[in-house]
Amino acid sequence: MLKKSRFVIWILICAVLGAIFLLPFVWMLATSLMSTEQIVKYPPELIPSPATLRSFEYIFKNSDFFTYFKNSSIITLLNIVGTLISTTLVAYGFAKYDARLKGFWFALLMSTMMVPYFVTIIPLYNIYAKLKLINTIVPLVLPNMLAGSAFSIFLLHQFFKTFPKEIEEASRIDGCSELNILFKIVMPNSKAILFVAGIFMFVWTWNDYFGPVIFLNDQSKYTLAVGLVFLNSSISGYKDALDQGPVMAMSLLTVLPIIILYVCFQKYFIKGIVNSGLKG
Amino acid sequence: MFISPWLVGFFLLTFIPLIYSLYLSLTQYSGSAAPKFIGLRNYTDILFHDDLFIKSLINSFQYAIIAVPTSLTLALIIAFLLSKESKVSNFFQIVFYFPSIAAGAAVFTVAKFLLKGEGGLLNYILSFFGIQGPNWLTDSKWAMTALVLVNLIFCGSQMLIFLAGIKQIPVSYYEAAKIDGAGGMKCFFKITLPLISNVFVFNLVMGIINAFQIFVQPLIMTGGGPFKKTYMYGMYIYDSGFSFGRFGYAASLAWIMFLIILFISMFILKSLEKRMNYED
Repeated sequence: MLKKSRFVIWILICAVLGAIFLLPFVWMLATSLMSTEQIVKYPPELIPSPATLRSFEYIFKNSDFFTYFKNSSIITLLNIVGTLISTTLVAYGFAKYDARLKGFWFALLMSTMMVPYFVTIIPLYNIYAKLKLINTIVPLVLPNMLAGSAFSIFLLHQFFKTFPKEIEEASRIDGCSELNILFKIVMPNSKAILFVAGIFMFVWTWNDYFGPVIFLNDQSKYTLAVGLVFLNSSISGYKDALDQGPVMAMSLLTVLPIIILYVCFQKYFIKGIVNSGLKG
Repeated sequence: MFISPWLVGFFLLTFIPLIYSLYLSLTQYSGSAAPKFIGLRNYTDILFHDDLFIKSLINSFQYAIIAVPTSLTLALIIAFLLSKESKVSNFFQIVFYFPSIAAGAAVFTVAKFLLKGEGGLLNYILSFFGIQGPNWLTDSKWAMTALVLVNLIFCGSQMLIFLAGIKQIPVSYYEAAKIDGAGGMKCFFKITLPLISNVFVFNLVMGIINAFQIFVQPLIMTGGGPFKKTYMYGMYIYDSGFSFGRFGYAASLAWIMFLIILFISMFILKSLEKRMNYED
């Protein structure tokens, strides 16, 4: 009896907390489907009635949603491909080869996590400006092309270390070159962990607001995150400032790819955090 | 050989910018004319003649002092709630981790609407309990609290790291304690907490590093207001460089941030006498 009531209390606490955690997303969905009249109503309602797609129509007609979406997609895709190739090489190098000063380089790599991005962003901005690269995607993809994510390197490094040496040695005897061993033998056997690194890169780049807002200042170059904030600031101030519909619809469309990815692959996300954080 | 992409990236995108930033911090530089060397004047100006520096630094400290412990505590409580392996707790793990993955401009924009003083959903819910909610984001007494509250729903990754740490503790420890007559609370403080101290330090240090660099959340939710009550140090660095065109000054501010973060992290690591060894 006691055990049962404890279980009920446990579920209740979890459910209430969970509802709070998900509230912003439920609200986003609900409001984006409501009419203006229903949104400004007090007390607020949670079920759209009548449900309408007018906010989405507004977004598609009155904002550059598709341009933003395209820009976000290109930047995200390049970052994922870049990081998978470069990070794999680097992590494999750290995991498999003994070189002088390797420990030093690895410690250095980990300590770059401590450097605030504010310290490097100011000189980087000025360097990119001199090279006329502001308003291009270069500043937003170059870091990951060059294995800029210590988290991803660490994640893959932990995995490669456990990869059986015998397989590699056997292939070496068979005359496989080092790069071939990595690409033909190690990588096909590391699909799961590469996938984890890839989806994390997707989420970071997709959500990033800081980088794009600094390096892109032409509206046609904006990513979704920047476009959303731009829309929000251009709508408030108008007569329909109280109408959250369009902003909520755009917010929903911005996080929708993340939601889909998360729902499909939550196991991989959780694995990534656990694998990398635990050893710390 | 394999780590060369990272080496190139490290030198181009971290090391050189760091040095360049250190140099810039000793100059007067508007971005157009060449930097003019002025020695330590930026630093003396900042430390002795800059009210906004003091204000934003105090705000950031205030934020970090409240936000880091609260979110660590919540993360620990949730991890503890979910520490028994079951389908239900796996489900809740996914729920609680979700906001961390989706964190970005979209969620902050929605949170802004949820926290509206009049007609906001949060205040409506509070009114059921007879509480008259404040104007969260526009009342100078409450704006900081509002930022801290919203930050709580992003404690998911810390929670997962705690959870992984807790799950590594052998069950036999608890069984032995139970035989000796220890209650649930005692077990938590005498067994769980000491045995996850490594994980705890990791979360604490990363939490502080992130809290000091908070930027996007206050930018979108409060814009630093009201009356600069939530104007964070990172926002001041950004404004100095990108709004006021004082890149030299901004670089000095950024270096001061770096030193503060470094000092606090080292202090914590030293005083807790735990070595974080990434290369296990």
